[in-house]
Amino acid sequence: MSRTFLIFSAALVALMAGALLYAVRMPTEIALEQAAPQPTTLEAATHPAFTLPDLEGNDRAFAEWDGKHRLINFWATWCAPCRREIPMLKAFQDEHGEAGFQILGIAVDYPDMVVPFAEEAEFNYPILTGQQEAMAVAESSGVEFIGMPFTMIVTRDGEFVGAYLGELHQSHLDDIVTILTRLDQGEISKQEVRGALDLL
Amino acid sequence: MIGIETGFSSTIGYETFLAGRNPRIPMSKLPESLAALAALLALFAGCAEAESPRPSLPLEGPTASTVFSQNSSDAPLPADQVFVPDAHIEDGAVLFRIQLQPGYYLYKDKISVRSLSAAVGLESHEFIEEWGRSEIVVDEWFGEQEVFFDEAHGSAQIRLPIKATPSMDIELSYQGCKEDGICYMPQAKVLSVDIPGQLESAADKTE
Repeated sequence: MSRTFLIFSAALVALMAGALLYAVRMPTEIALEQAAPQPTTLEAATHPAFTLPDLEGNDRAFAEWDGKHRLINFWATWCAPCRREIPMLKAFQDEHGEAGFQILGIAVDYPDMVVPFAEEAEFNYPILTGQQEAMAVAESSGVEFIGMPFTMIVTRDGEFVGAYLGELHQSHLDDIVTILTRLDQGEISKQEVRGALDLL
Repeated sequence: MIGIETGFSSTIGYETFLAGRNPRIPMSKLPESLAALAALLALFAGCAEAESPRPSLPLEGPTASTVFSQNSSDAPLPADQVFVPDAHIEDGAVLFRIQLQPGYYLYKDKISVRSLSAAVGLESHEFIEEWGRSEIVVDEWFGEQEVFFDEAHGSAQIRLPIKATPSMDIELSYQGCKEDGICYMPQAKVLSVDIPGQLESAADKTE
């Protein structure tokens, strides 16, 4: 058996070992892909499109706010953590509205409960209302809508990039501004935004 | 794939180095040397790929683990796993129970029960505090609220006379939240409850 044959055999074994080690990470990726929520329609999951009435009963299309980064905040009058978020979201709108950020509230509640509350709360961002149709918007994210508060994040070009189930805090909002600003500046990609928002 | 490409491109550079600058390795041995080098590089590349951590994002400060962290370990459970209702009939009353996972609670005034069976009516329910005591919590928005942790028990007397039927459907409604988390949409669960023979017999006599 020649020395060359032995060396090539060793090379082949080493190549196979390298390939095997490289493949070690593949099952994890596949598992993550399989664990990811599967949207019913890809288009709905990536580019939400809906129309819901505002507090005056006028139909408002989501596309009306194209060109802005949107935080769609689902809430209800009976939901204490939702109500806790509102002053912070108003402050966020004041601070970042001119930079192209837009809070959009969707009350999954009865209008006759929402209207008097809204008058007292003095929202500085639009409030839309709905029941099943509003929940359908939330579920178009591919994330199971089990309660509130629930917030979806949509970029300027209308692409859904993340969702959060639970009460937002100031640190969350600060992070969202940082991430989306870096997207605007071309420093990170949409995929990295999704990753940063921990969206699977 | 990445490992092979790395080995190949590195080999080209090393071949030049070997041929021109290392007199101890003759050109006749070059194929063997290259094969050995390729093997080592392939092994090294494979190890590096397998052991390399997930690429970090070009973000300073908080990253994915701090943003949206509730999407992972502390994620709220689905309502059906949090609130588990059951019911049965005893001594002429529907006894119901709602069991809760730790860290979740139900608003007492949001719990209600009603009959969905035309043959059987129910009186207003009462809570059985000996079996599951409510607590007062102070909510900054809603003031003092009575809530149940762990479990809630109640009973609703069956309104007599009833029409003979082996079972009845009841609707148990409730609404609750996760501590420092989310509030669940109002839940309404339909439960089928067997009617004991005694009540059925009574119904037969009244008919």
